[in-house]
Amino acid sequence: MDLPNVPRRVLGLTWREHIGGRWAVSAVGFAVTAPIAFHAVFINVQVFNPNELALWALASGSSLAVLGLLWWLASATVLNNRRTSPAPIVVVVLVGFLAGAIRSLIATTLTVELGLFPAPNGLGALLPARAAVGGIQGALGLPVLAMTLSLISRYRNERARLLMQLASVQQKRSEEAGAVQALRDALSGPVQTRLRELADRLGEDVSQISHIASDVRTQAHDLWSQTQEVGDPPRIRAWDVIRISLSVRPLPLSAIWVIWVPSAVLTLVARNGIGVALSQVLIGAVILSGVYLLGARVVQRFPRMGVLVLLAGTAIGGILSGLAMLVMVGGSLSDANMALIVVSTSWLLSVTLLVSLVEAAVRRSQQVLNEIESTIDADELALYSEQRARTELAHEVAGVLHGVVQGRLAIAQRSDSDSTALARQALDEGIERLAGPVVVGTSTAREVAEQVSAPWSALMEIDIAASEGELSGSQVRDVSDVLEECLSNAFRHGQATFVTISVQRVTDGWDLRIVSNGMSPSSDAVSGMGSSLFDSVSGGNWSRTAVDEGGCLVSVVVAGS
Amino acid sequence: MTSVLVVEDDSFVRATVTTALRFHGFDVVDSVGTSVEAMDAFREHLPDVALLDLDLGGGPTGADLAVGMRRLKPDLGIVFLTSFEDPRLLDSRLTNMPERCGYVVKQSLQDTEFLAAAIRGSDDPGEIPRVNLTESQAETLRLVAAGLSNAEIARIRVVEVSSVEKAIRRAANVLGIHADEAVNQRVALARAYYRMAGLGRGSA
Repeated sequence: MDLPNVPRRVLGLTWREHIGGRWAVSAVGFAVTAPIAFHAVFINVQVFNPNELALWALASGSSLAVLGLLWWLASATVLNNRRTSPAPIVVVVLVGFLAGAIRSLIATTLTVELGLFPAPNGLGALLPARAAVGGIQGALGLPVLAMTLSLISRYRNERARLLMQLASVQQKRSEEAGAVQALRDALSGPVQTRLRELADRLGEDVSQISHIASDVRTQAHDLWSQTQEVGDPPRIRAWDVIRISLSVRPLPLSAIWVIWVPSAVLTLVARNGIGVALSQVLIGAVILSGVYLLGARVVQRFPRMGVLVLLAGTAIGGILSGLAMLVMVGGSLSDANMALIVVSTSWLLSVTLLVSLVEAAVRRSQQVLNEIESTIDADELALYSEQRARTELAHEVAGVLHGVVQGRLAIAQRSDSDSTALARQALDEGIERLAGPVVVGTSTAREVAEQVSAPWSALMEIDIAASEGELSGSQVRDVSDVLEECLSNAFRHGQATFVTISVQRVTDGWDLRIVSNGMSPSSDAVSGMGSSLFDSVSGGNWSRTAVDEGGCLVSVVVAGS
Repeated sequence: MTSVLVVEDDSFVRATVTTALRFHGFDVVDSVGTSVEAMDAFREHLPDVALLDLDLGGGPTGADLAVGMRRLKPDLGIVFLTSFEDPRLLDSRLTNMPERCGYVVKQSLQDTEFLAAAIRGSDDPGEIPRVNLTESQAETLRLVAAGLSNAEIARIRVVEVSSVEKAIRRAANVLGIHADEAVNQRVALARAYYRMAGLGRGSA
């Protein structure tokens, strides 16, 4: 079946959601940018004079403060609603361009006015080129920075989600091994005993019902109140995300050719003219590419060396290319030129790091996620699983007391006749439910699809095609949730009368396709709880599209072997 | 005689309600507990009124059945029988309930005349009740009561954690639950939800 074009997603979000969302401009982003931008101004030092360092710092710091102010203004105006409605990428690019251009204008004006930087043809002749360089750097840098921070944030949440998923699987295993049943017995045993005592006390005395109801209510509330809420699973440290991403893709060539080359050309054109600048940058880019390719090979063999290779690769590449570019114009190893090489190299390091994280997410996100998953150790998982199981079971027991026993006791109290019989029935049902076993196990794809669709078959005709094979405990839950969401949406929003469900095993999990007739999904259906669920179970590998003849096709790949 | 189809997944309540309706002179054509049984019985009997439990425990809700039944019989009288003071407490997406529906809260069943009156007046029912919470607050409250953390709620609702915290604060204000060291606000909110969902009185 041909799928219409759907937005490309990285870790479950579109590029627009990454770049124009929460992280488009942020305090964290500024904290990352500040040191890079601060020392980038020093690239303009032509004659090294220690006495002028404070003035250079003043000019750089002032321009940086203005950059922060401009970001804040953008955050409060054109990017104000980005958390709920991501801004178009072009808006972020424009903000980056304007902020970068204005920062460069201020830095240039201050350095010229303070006598740090010569402007033989006057400040006016210098400013347009400087504004263009700063603007282009900002236009490229801000989206890349936003994308990087958004990806790190997604990865960090992803670990928490993985931990919850693994905990669910662990719970299922514990249930199969009888451990959860033992925990349940420990929690519900005293409650059952108490209910039996209350049943004995009841006798034929109608007046006892209200006391018993009160007792049951107190038990339920005690149980509920004593339940420790399970905290959010710990998120992975940002440093670990960086380390893992670098073990996958430490020295991407795109950092050189997409970011470094245009930026270097613009910087050098003002110094050496267009022809020389292009030649210099070409030679520099070729040397850098060679070093980066070599570094990538090293990391392929020794993934743990990702961080080291990034540092060494950018340092060696930056210095070699800087020296080569210097030799081309007959420059000497003066203090100023050394400073230029050092500053360019550290800038190269920052750019390479950001692009590396983005490339790792775009091209190898599953590999990164696998590495992140490996940071979850058995002790942490066991502790979290036990806490979750204990909380869920306590809620379950409290729910039986609240929802079943107390509800029926209330009806018994209001009944004109047979009150004590009804009350005894309420207590017996509570005891019976609390004594019931925890039911778990795997199911085939067809069984799951049939089980979920059975209640909906009363309202829609449902056709099921499923391949052979069993689903694991977590897959049963995920597939059930997706099917329930799709079926309810098809009936409620699509007014469907016919639905086809296909559940097919694929290499990395189960491919679910749900096609319904009726109305096509509205354009605002791309976000919402359904989307969140699909993201959660598929890691972003899903689509929802309109069918030509009316209706909707939802395609979701539920991951896991 | 008005014919009534009773759809209620709790066998105890189903039996009680059926007996009460017959006592009040209604012709209860069938009383069933699942959506499939409900639609089969409906097609067979085409009753005047359907008394539908809103929460059928998974799959279609009573509201979905109402929509399906009205497609077959547009003049069908519908009365929802539910423990929820507001349908949004069951599912935030139940904001667009079918038109012309009665709504009886199970807690009011101590007087079965009330139920009988709702069925007699199903051709001119009142408005669906609403508690004083926004949809976002009602949904957040439901998820808090389900034992989810703020981060989990944020993920499900596709909002920031700060928005969840805000919704919880506002819901607590609306419900008169104020920050108090002696009372865990989350527990108090869950109790309030349980009370409004008819799952108990919700107070210790």
